[in-house]
Amino acid sequence: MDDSLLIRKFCSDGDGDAAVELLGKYQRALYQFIWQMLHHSQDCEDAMQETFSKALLALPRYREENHFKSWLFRIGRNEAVEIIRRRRRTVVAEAPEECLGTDPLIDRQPAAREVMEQKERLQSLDRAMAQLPDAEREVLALRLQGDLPFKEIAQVIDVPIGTVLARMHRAKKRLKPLLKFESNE
Amino acid sequence: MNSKTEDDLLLYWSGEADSKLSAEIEALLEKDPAAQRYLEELDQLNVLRGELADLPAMNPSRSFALEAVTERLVKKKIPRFPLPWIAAAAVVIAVIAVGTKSWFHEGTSPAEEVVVKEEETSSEPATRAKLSERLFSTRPQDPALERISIARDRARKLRTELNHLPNS
Repeated sequence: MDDSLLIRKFCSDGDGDAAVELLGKYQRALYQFIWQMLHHSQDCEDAMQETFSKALLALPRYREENHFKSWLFRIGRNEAVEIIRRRRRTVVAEAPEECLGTDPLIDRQPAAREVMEQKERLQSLDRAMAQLPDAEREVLALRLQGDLPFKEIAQVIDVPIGTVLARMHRAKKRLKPLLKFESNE
Repeated sequence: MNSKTEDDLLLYWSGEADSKLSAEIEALLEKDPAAQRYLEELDQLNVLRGELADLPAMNPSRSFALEAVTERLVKKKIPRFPLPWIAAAAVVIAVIAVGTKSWFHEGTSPAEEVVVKEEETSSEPATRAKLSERLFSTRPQDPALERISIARDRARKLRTELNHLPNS
């Protein structure tokens, strides 16, 4: 169902299911974007809760037709930035272990070489992304995890589109060794 | 490859290039290996994005949408005091009522206490009449006291007459 229709159903009729459907559509993408920003499960959950609460509270005043996703991501991004500022957390330290978690398959089948290689590759990528400068990681995550077009990313982070493209280019350049490693395999 | 071309490639890869720009990029890709490589690297990012997205930590374990909506609807249902200024006025009236009541209590009690204390701590003998009885009593007084009083009056009159006599 269309975002505008879901918003109307929630705001006019108090239809909770419509709001759940609306937010649920973007929950995974938003979570992955915030995860890339914070690299910490608890912080990520806090930011998600705050983002959705604020979005629901502000929804009756929402006027940006057809841009709900970028509007929601803007709230989420502000929450993540606020958490980074408040907690002064080092985002790199906890990234690899927490990101990969424990895979029961690997534990039970130590000889599963492919699974191990996959794990190492993803670990390298996650580490590389976590080490990107904040501004570049933000653009990369909004494009990759959020699947937002560059024009909307510019609106979310409030910079000209040229700046967004330059940051994306620099992020890709930093990740290039990893991408080469991928293509050589 | 200059930065303008890189920007155009990014827009093309993102699906944001208009038809004119798309045609230019496709023409470029046919003859420029560097541009081809650049685009391949961007595609690699997409592949990695897909792999990262499957990681357990990259997927929410809870339904934040459902939780937030439930919380919002519950908050809406909780009846709140309709008008804040009515609540404030009610508090002010209650405070005034309590204050007035306690002021009345404080105004009468000490006086009563003084009277009681005066009566209890009096050092005069218990047989003697109270001051109020002595002042306002209509009963006839002790005859001995009456005689003393008459004698005092006579003495006062005599003293006055003696004062008016010429000096001898």
